[in-house]
Amino acid sequence: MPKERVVKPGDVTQRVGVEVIRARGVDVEKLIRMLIANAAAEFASTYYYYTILRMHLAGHEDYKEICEDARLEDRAHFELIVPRIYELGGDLPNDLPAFHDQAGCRAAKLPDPPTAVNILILLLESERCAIRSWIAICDMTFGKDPRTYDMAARILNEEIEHEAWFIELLAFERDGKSVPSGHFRRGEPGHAPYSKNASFYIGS
Amino acid sequence: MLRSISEVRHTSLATRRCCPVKSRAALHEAVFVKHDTNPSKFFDVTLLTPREERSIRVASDQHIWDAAFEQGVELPALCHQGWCLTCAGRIEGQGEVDQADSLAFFPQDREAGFGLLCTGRPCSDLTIRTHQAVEMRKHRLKDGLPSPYSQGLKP
Ligand code: FES
Ligand SMILES: [Fe+2]
Ligand SMILES: [Fe+2]
Repeated sequence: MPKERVVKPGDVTQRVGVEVIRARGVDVEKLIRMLIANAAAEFASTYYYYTILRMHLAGHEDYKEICEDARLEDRAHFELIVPRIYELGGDLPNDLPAFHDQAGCRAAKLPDPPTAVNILILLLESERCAIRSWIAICDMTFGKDPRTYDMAARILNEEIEHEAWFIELLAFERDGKSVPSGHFRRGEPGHAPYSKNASFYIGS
Repeated sequence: MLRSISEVRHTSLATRRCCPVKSRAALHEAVFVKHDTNPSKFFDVTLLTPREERSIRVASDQHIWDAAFEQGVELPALCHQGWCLTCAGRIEGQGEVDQADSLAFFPQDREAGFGLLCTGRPCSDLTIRTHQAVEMRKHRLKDGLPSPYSQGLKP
């Protein structure tokens, strides 16, 4: 049985929820750093999806729909990560540019020229970075921190789907090829089947 | 201060390089299109890892991380895009690395001797100390440059 530091009754400066995972070998400070970098990437990606989707995919209404799902799911990811950061004893930087500069993935800013192909390449690579970032959290927490692992695995599920969607769209748009993603329509925009706990959302 | 990616990219492209400049389109091509290029040169790269010293051969059009992986040396990496700094190394002594494929690489990084191995191509024989992510993140913080995964680190 892993030995953990005993938290004294009534002590609010320490958390049993943190000490139990530290005792199982998690480097909690590193984990917080990684979660903040991932939260920044999700936050920035949600923001840039607005600019890319709303302003520059006119005439590609089907692509817009897919981007809309990816955007809302990245927002759900951000909101899922933030509570975990605070539970672990971390906090978000008060300064937005400082937060932005810590992101583990490049911001998905509008490419030049903003063609559908260039936008799809950018989004695809952004999803790939997200997959790598989340599997790193899974690796770090597997068998030691079930709560963070569960969260990371749920987000990872959606990032893997996002990659498949953008491969399908890019292969079609750029190469005229069919590379199916296995995509079924989401229940409704923002459904986020893995990363939202549906019962928390009234009416959904 | 928020920097635009074009500025970052511009900075990256503006840094001194020894190999032919790759355009953005060429970068995408490198990522997505299998292309036949005959590597004209190979370089000897010595990797000083925390565990051992290893020598590898790297083609001038190959990323150092990829060559290390193929030759049985596993180095840290995360984004594989030249952004997150996880793969950072430090060049010991003389030598040049082309970082044109990295999403962000600043002249200050080069001056301080850092390189991003996931997207760095050799331009000469090299000796590289690996596992320098924390040091490179602190260096970026010190210079007020974007520093992924740096929360809580002191410059
Ligand atoms: S692995 Fe991210 S910069 Fe090299
Ligand atoms: Fe996401
Ligand atoms: Fe995503």
